[in-house]
Amino acid sequence: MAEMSARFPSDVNLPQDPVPFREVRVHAPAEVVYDLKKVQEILPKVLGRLGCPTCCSGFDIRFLVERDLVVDPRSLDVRGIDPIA
Amino acid sequence: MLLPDLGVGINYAPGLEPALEACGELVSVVEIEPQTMWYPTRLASEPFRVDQAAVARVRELPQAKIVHGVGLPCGGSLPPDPGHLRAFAQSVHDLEAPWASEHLSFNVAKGSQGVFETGFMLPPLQTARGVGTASASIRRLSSALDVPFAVETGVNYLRPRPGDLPDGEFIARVVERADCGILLDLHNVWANARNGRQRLSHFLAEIPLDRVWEIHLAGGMEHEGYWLDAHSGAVPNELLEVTADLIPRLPNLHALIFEMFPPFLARFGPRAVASEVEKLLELWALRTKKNGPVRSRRRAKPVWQNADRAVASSTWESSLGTLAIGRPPGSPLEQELAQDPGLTVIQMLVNEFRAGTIVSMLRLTSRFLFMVLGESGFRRLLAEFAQEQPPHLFGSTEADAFRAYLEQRQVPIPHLLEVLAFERAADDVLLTGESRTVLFRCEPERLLTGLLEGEVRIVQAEEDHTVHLRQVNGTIELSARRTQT
Repeated sequence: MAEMSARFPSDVNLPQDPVPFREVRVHAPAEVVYDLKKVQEILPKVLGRLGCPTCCSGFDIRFLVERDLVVDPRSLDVRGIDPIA
Repeated sequence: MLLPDLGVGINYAPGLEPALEACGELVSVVEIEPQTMWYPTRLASEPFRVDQAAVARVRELPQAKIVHGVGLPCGGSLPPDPGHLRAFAQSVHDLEAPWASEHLSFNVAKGSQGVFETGFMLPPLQTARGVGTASASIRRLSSALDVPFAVETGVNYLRPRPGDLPDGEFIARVVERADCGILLDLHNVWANARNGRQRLSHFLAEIPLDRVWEIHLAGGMEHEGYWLDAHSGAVPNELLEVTADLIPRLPNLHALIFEMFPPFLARFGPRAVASEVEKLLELWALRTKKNGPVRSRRRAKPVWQNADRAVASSTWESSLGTLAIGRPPGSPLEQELAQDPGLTVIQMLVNEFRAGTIVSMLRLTSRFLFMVLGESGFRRLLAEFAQEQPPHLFGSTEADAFRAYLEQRQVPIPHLLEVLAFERAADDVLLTGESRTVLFRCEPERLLTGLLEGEVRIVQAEEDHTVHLRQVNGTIELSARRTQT
């Protein structure tokens, strides 16, 4: 079983099919626990978002908040982050 | 008609619980946005289902409740969706709200391809014809309710059009013809004035103040010369001063509500919400008169009747709606509206709202796309999707549409469709209570937890894996196992 942690280029515009990603072989740290509990924890929180979004006639920052969690807004590099609270 | 004095409160939608907790006994009323607690079922027999656990939590709150719709505005010509209207009326009944309210706006229109959603509360046709359309729409909605109804004064980023009724005059005519109350959103009206529409003092001089049952206050933000009704923070001091002058002139004011958009709460802070509520309590103390029955004001003279430029409400809605969702202008009205710089603001807000809904609904898929495509690539994908698909009111239907788009688009990212299928399965499990199984051609634990931690970790597996999702006491339980290929 080959293990790799793939880091893709951070800024690929579509449509450029196939997306020219590269895979970089990185060994994951040993202390990382791979189980589904972390994923399991966030799923019920989705329910509150299934409905009609609340009244908002201004700027919705949800996209920017998520971007800032995943992508460094200055370098556009992916950065390590804490699991979703 | 006597309504109770409910005092000062805040709006409630999922995500605002910390604000409610921080406010505690400072708030005596909570304004519930019911559609945020229901979701479409994809079933014709039961189009909407209420998240009973969420409603039960709301019902247990010690404060009084009023109901404020966020999906069934009453300024347009199309009749309300019957299932949506039934569910709204049921929410008003279940929460024992003494009155209910909705926006004087429209969010659906009928174009050449049929009825479509606009993704934003848009301003109605503001002419004599528009008065007739809006008042009829209000009567349709209010007749389905067993409590009094108030209509909210909306935000309008467009510049005034020659021949339109002034903003205050339009509201006055609509509410008098519909015989309903006014939910005076002062931040909206203040934003409109800052953005070049009618001065606030003129607006207030034109509306029947004895019909104002409720006030909304909020904070906003500047964007490219426009003040946005973002519900993002503190009420501007200037607006607090205007409110202090106004409140003694409102004989039938029953509630004063501070509004917050949940995604801003983390930045603003629950304690800051409580501080705003304290300011509102000081304003509430300025009331000088007791309740009285609603009196009809003398009807305004129809001086603008002849200025109606023969545009039908349906044409206005179709034209503005078409442009708002990013389609090119065609008709002369669309060509005219396309020259309005406020339209660019509306289009930006629609797109940002759609993007926000998708990243909220499809969190793992979105992280995958962010990490592989970067922000600009992901945005380009969203823009392509927006060009192909009009917006959807509910988060789950918007997510369904984006899923279908990604599947059809065949974005060449390995294992993306598996993550997408996993998130769809999670929605299904929550919506139906049934179990689902998703096939992965890599190690699902590493891929999914990696996405949560900001890395794409793909472990090529010699065998397939399945992840089983089932609902246990309202939460989802996951289990994974290997399967021989």
